[in-house]
Amino acid sequence: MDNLIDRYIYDVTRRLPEKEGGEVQKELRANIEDMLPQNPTEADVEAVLYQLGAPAKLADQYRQGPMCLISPAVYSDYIRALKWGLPAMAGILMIFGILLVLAGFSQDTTPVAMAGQLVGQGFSFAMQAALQFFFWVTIGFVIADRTGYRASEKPWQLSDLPKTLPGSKKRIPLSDSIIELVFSLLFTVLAVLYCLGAFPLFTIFRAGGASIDLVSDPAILRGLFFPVVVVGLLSVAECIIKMIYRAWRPVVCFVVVGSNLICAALSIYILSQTNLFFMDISLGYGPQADWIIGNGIGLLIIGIIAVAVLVECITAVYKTFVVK
Amino acid sequence: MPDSDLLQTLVTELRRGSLTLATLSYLKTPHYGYALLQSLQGKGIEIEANTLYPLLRRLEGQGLLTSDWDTAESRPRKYYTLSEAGKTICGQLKSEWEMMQTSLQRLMEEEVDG
Repeated sequence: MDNLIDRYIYDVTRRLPEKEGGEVQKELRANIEDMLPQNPTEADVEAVLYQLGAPAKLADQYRQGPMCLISPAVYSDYIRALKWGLPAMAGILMIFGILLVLAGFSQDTTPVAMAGQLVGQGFSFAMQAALQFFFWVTIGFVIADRTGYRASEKPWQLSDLPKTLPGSKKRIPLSDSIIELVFSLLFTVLAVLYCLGAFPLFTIFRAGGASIDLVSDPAILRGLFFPVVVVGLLSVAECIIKMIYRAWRPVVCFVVVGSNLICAALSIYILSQTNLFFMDISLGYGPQADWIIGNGIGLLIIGIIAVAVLVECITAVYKTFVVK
Repeated sequence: MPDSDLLQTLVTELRRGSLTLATLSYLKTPHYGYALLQSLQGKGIEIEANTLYPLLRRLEGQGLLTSDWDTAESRPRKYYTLSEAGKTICGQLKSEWEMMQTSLQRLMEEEVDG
């Protein structure tokens, strides 16, 4: 008979935190004994235990802490932290992984092998960063939630409402801006490294004694450092303003158009540098041939940039001022 | 959800807050769990043991009740009574309850008349 009561109490308290379990055990035993008549029979005990109900349900009632990993009070902050932080951390570590591959760059590496390493290392670093970030942010929120942290609750204002409705053509999806930001950072870092002479020679093809290498004049490259950094910073600023407003608004349009025009002007300046690239072709016998990439290709690229910038600017103005 | 289950859920929701008020009101003098359960049930308050016992612990955790173990008798008993904070809160809850009751009463009477 006592065994039934002991088993019932144990079944309740084993579901509770240790510090609460001891007191609940004492209290529950006293209450059960009070509910029983003098000299109780087994049937009396059973009746009382049935009256108290399922141990799991009673334990739920006794439990005072939250019954979830992340409580509703901090859930939206948690999701926001993941939504912003996860892609950002993955992107940054992806760039770091790619840089590590580039640091070990050797002149014998073919572009295909190099691309394989870049993708593999970049993806692996991004995945690790995402998993680590997810794990630590979750742990942080669980601790904060249980120690009573609450984000400062600012009074709600109309300006906090979403700027656009779903499906609106004015909307700029956050994911698009994040992807754009990651690629902007990646290309800027690569371009800066290229300007600093990190890759003096880029092998396009190598078989036997024959090779085709892309080479550049270090003096010209160093001169391009400043314009490349400016282009990079403007692209990043453009992404950040899109992430903040998430919709085509006049300020976003102004930044996008301005940044595009400046970037286009600088890109055209960079490409118009004569003797920027050489094709170094060696067939393994006879004299080497250096081919300067002619003005024709430069002009073609400038044309493509001009069209792309024009399209982007018109799209920005159209989405900002024409689309309702 | 069948109508009877729905009604039960709504009644439980309606009762939840009032059970706290009933418990606090009754603990101006010290009571142990089972005695309080019997007193409340005797006054027509529908409350189960498995609701009251955890509720007492919760209210104690919130600082509204204080407790003392009486080990003088053959079986130890935990006596609960209102703390100072509990007395203040109980008074405020009572005023809220009365206002709510008056408003609801008026509202329902208007419904009947209308």
